[in-house]
Amino acid sequence: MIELDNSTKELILDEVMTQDRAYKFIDELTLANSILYKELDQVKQPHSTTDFNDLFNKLLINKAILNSGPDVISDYIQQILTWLKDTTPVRYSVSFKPRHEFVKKLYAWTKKNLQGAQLVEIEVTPEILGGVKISLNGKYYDFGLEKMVEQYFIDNKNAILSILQK
Amino acid sequence: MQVLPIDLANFLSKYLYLVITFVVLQGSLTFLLIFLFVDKLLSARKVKAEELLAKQDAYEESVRILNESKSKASEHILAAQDQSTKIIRDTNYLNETLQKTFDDELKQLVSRQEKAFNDVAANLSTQFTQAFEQEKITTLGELSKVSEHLRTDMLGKVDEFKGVLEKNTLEAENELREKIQADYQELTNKLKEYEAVKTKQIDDKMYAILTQVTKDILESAMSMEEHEELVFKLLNNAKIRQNF
Repeated sequence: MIELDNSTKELILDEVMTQDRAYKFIDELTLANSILYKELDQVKQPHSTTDFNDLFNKLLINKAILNSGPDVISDYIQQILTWLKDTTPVRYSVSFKPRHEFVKKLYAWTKKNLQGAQLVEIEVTPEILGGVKISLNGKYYDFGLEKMVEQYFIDNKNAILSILQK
Repeated sequence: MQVLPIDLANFLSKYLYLVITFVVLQGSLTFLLIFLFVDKLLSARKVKAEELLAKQDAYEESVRILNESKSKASEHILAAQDQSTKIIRDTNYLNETLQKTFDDELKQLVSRQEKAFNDVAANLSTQFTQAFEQEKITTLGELSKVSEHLRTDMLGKVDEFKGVLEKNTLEAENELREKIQADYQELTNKLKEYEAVKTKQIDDKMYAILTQVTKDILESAMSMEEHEELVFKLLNNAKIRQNF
């Protein structure tokens, strides 16, 4: 049996980064697990290139895995699946559709600044206008522009009214 | 030629003056009696005429008293109307409908009072006329008494009417004042509610517009790069402030 170590976890997280991609990786791992005991000709739709080819290759570099039988590999995959399914992401809300570079930067920032955080989940919410909202460990932080604008109007109600009434 | 006997002649020459005196006295007495009779007759006619005149005067006097009483009553009614009109006129915050309602109520009240007084006056007049027709009044003294009684009674009725009118006017005033106070309070409350609701609506609308405009400007004014930069700027600021 091969144990899933922290460096392997970090390798997976750095490649997956987001919750959406984690789900896709889980699907592919599940598929890979299901064909472990089948002969190549029994696989009706040979698995083609995926988004995670590089990650698979990096994981298989481990000689212990390569030289193991299907049972060991399956057990190893199960460990990854179990761990990945239990991973709680940091949830971000932004007003725009994030580009890949932005996602990478946000993941990097999260990894560096938020202790214990692993994956990120990015939701597009145009209503917040700009800025970001964060849900972390059951706590909610609103740094959205919408809230800032509304707070500004509440704080300056009298001044705004006096200007409007002139 | 037959001459008077000597005795008779002597008698006449002796008492002629007495005979003449008797005849003269008899004539004077007769004349006096006739004079007195005529005078008495004339006096009786005069008294009769005076009685008729007095009756006529009493009628006229009673009519005058009635008219005077009606006039006084009319003055009281007009005064009450003026006072109530003044109250209504001074009440600026009453709307036209409410003013018309009060005005109508007041007119009805005055109309009722006027009718009541006219009924009393008509009743007294009828009683007076009936007394004459039934010939119960036979002397000037009785006529005077009736006339005086009529005056006292009539003036008493006027005073009574005046009291009723004042009481009714006072009640109308109090009722009007209470209605005005209640309406004013209700109007004030409604006005406050309306003002609060309206102010809030205006505030909400103004804020909604301003907020939306500000949001639109902010949203459209920023490029994708600026949005991304803003996210990291806010995250770093939050980290510095140890928000998490």
